[in-house]
Amino acid sequence: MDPNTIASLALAAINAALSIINHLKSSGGLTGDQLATLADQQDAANIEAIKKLLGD
Amino acid sequence: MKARRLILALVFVLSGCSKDPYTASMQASLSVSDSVAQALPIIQQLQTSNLLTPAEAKQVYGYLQSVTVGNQAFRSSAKSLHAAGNKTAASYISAADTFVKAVNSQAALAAIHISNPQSQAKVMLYLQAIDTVLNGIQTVISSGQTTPAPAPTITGELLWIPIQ
Repeated sequence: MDPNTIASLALAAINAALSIINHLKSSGGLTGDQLATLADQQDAANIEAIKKLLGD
Repeated sequence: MKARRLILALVFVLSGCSKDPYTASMQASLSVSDSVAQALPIIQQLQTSNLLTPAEAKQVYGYLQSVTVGNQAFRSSAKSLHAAGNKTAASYISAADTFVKAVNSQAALAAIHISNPQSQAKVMLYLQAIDTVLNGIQTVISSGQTTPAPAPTITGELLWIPIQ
């Protein structure tokens, strides 16, 4: 798989995660721990995508 | 659409929806994460369209990486404070201050130079938006309110600048 495809897949995963986060946010009432979990997951996805985009 | 999402993230973080400093910190941190996630596809799109050189893209990705790593560290500090039973906003604000200073976004943004003016404008729009979220963290924690805080200038600009 070429690097562009890998990066695109990583970004698609981020978009999917964002959709879920937006849905959860719109439902409201998330606790601090739930928000922390979402942020942990989002940051992990961001780091992974950045690594792929940098070709690391 | 992406710009709208980013605006929503900004409004969300600046609206101060949370009541306790830990939840406010986590909410603000998630908004930073979201803002970075929104910027990544835009940078990639510019790069694949040859509107951004690989070296320029690398600079921007490096900045987004430092924001993300700093955000993780901020969250870790906030979690420790929470686990220790700390409920004072000042402690969380101090952790946020460490994060904001470590990222030093104004200096980092000034160091990013992009030759294509349109690309420069688009990239800076997103990076400034992230900067706005970063600098809004302490406000969100300290306010702990349910009524919206005044929106910064960048939010107004984002509402009116069309993004292709």
